[in-house]
Amino acid sequence: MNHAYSLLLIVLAAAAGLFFWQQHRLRMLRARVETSAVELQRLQQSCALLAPAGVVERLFSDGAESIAEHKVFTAMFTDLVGYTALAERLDPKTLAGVLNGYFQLVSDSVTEHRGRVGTFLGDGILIFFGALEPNPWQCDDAVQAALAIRAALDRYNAELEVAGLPRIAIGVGIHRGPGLAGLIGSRDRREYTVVGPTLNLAARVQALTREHGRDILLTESVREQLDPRFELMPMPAVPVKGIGEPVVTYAVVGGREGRARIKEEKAGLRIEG
Amino acid sequence: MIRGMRKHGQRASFARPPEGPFAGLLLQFEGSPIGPALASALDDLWASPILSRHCKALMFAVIGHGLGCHRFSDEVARVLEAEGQAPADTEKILAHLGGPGVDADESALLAFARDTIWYEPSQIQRRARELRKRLSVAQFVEALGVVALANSVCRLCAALPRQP
Repeated sequence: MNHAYSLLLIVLAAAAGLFFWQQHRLRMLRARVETSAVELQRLQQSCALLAPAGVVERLFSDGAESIAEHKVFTAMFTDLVGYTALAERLDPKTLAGVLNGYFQLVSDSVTEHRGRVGTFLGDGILIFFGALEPNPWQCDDAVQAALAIRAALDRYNAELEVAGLPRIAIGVGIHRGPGLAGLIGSRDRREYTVVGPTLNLAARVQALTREHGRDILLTESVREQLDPRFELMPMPAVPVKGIGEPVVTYAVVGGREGRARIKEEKAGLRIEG
Repeated sequence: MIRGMRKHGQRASFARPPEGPFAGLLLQFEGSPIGPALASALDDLWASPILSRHCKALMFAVIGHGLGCHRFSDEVARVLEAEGQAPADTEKILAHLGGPGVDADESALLAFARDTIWYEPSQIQRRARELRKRLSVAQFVEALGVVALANSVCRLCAALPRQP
């Protein structure tokens, strides 16, 4: 009887030991999974600084070669007016601070309107709308972003003036057309970008802002898709390097809300406080 | 046994053939447990008087348009036409998320529907807070239900076999 009782105790002790050992292993496994998840998240966050988050996710799941697609997208090119003169006037540290403020305000305005900053090119910024995921509202988004940049720049200039620094001005060119979006570069180093003539024309249109004395210009292909409530002003067609026909552009005067406000005022519906 | 059931699934038929909006779409889920569940959710959503049917259908249309799902968009177009919306006006509204017969609140709801298409939590949360300021609690909750259902139905459509 005692022998059977002892055997039962040993079996129970062994079962309890096995149970606790398994629990311990499970806890260890959970801790390792959680640590790995945190590390993976950190890695994805670090990669997101180098490419849009969606691209990073696809890079992890499908590999680099899968990320190359023909798309119709809207390209925006922004550039600082008179950067060379500014660089000569300011010491490098102050210049870097002014540039960082400009990059940040453009980046914030673009993200707010569902665009993606593609590349920083010196004082220029290449921005895409509808390059990563389908976006049927890409032209409206691009122009809204450009207007947001204009408003943010006004506020930034007020800050620069208070700090005794020179005001800055920018030119923005917007064009819509086809391109190949993907990870472009060497085997060792690639970046997410779009290639094709659409980018060149966006950059040329940005350069035309100096010629026309306007801060935001867009092409006919953008105007065709744009909400008619945006206030535009046609500019004279001018020849552009590398393009056969003279390029017709439109200056962006005001947003959709402005047109609606004018309409309401004309109809006597709006009462100013 | 439960594992077996989960693995092989259970055939489920509609208690009665779907008749309301999206009936054509729902019939394609015949045999799947998803079908009756979706039919019930869509019927309840459609019956609710908190947001207008016109507005709810437009929110569905925005999500279909944004995701580029023709099957879903065609079905929603039929629903909108049944609600008295001219197809040309629907096209204008979808092109710029505003237009004929759409007031400022509806326009904000359409913009919110659009923001839920590509899941970016921080942006959705911020825009949801902005939307909350202009709607009642009931309207806001219903709007969340509409976008959640529209996104799931539209994405489920992508899983359906291609039509000949």
